[in-house]
Amino acid sequence: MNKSLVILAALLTVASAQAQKLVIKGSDTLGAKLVPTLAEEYKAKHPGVSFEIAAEGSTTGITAIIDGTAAIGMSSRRAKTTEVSAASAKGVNMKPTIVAYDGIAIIVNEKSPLAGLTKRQIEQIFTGDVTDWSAVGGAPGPISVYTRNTSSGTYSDFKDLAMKKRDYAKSSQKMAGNEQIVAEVAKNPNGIGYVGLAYTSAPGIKVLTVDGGLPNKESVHAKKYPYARPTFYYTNGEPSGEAAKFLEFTLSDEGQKIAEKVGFVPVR
Amino acid sequence: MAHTSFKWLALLGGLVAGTAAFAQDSGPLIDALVKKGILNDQEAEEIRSDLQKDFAETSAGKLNISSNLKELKFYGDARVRYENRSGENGVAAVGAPNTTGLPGDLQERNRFRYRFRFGATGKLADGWFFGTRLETASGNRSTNVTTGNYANAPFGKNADNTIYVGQIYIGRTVEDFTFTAGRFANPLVTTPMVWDDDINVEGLAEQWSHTEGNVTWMANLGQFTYEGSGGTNNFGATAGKDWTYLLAFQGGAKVKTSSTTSLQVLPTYYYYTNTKKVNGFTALTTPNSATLRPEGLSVVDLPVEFGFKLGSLPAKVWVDYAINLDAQDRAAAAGKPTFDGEDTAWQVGFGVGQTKAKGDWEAKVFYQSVDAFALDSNLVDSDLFDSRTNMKGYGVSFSYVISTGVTAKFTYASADRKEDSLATYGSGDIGTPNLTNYQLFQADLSVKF
Repeated sequence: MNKSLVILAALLTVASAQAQKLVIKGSDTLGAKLVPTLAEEYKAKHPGVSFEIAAEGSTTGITAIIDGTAAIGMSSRRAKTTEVSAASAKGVNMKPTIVAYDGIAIIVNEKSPLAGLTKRQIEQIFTGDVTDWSAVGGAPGPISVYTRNTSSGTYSDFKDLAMKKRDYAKSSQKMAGNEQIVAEVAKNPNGIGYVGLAYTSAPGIKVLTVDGGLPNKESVHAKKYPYARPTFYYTNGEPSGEAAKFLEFTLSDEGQKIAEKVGFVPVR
Repeated sequence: MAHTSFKWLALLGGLVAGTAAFAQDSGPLIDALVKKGILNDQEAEEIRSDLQKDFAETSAGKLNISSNLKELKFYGDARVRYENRSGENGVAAVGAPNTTGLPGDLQERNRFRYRFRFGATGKLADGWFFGTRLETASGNRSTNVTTGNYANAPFGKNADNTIYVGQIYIGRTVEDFTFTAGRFANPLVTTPMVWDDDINVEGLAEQWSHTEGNVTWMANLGQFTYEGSGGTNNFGATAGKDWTYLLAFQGGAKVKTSSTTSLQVLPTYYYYTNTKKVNGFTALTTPNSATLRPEGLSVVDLPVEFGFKLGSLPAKVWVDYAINLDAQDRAAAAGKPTFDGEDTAWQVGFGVGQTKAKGDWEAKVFYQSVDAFALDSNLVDSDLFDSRTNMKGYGVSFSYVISTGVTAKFTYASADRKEDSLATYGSGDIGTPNLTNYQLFQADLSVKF
């Protein structure tokens, strides 16, 4: 009898160790490249840990923390007051931790003659006030605007940072992720879109200056680039267990080096 | 530096400890602290998050208002009223026999009434705006519910207790122009002699106002659907129904004649289309109706107002003069072709005071004379002379602001039939077409928010 109990306990311990799964949901900006890379490195050091990563937009990450369906919610935007209110109603304490900085880069097809735009021109293009490239110094042709979809943090951040909170042009095409925007702009000589810094080295596109400045480590850190922003892990209060360890790893020198390598601007 | 940092942190501490609503405005302060190196980004983020949590606990924090809105405003009022209204059944006019009693009979109505109105207006980008107002009662010239007037008394409810959509409109402001469509407050400058101020018109309005020096030029145009029941071109052999429209053209100016005086003149022309239609209206040969056909109406109205100071109080004298250019057609439609000279209406009044703050008061007095065929009886004020034309008399009112937003108002009006050979056209609460010796007393207590 005693032997059976010992075996059962041993089995449960092994099963428990093997079931260390960290669920992370949210931002495509963080979740398409950075977090999977961090997760791979982390798994190499902690073989018993597995990850479930769903990168479907910041809104889904914040909702997952409120609903308790993820340990970490990735977000490229701050939680809205209504989300914080919904969290409070469920006894959830939304805690943001800055894990890296990003600059929202304006990209066009590599064949575009343009090198840069002003903030005003960018607002006009994305709101639909301007619909032809000739109005902003480009070759005549209808502008094709590519944006993220409404569950994206970048979608709402860009409205706040670049569009004075105005609506996107009705003709704008909404894409599920940064990589889709890059792919469309690379195919379309009249295309324009925005992506996180980590997605600017793809072929077929080029990054435009904004009021003469490019997004890079220095301009983002110094907050001189107008569309610079922090990116977050949201947790329910102080994280614990594997989530705390993964957050610690993300903020470690090693984690921040990975962030920089992937294309983000490290916090230090 | 340490001293300065302490000051900043003390200020931030005050914000955190202060009201949540105030804390919502602290974003720029936090950014400034980060720029000065007093806080790092993560510390700033945690403070922001704490402030947001505090705000989220408040009522305002639980509201989720569309980001399309630049401004949203709620407003409304509630009013309780005692009213005594009485009128004598006068000598029968030719063609309008007394059917409700003998001459000299007095009808009296004592009523306790209440009303409620609640509205919202919003502004969006590029000058777009919208508004709506919900209100009690179904009448076009009243939002009152009469207490006890229920089939299932005591304390029942009737149709007037229902909440109706009194206003719903969208519009756009472009520089000096304002365009409005829907159902909205009357955009014309007018007096109760011509328009009851409870009426919300339906249709389109275009307004222009431009100030140059001491002169404000104004133009108000309206295209209102006056009656439009039923289809316009039904299947089968049924005759099509044409809608009736009221078109209004108003233009003029307000001139500041000195630092304390002003003169406003706004001539207006009213034109009706399809006035002989049968549907939805009662012929003028049945004068005691609230929906008389707008036949033979082509009215020029001239409201003039002179504003000045009486001591420290604002005061005004006004005159409103109107003439119906088609009165002969209206008289003929009423079966009274020899009374085609009954075409003029005028009102003269004086008011002093204002009702803005606690302790303010305002007094008004006017005299009015309206010929039988001068104005549209479907639009004239429903209280002062019981919705009638062919009446002359006076009215006085006194308002006192008991507390900010709380006003007591007392109104008295007295009138007689102007031309005894004619009916008093229109229908109010006193059920005779030969109304005379009419008196009204109202005591109101209103709360505005």
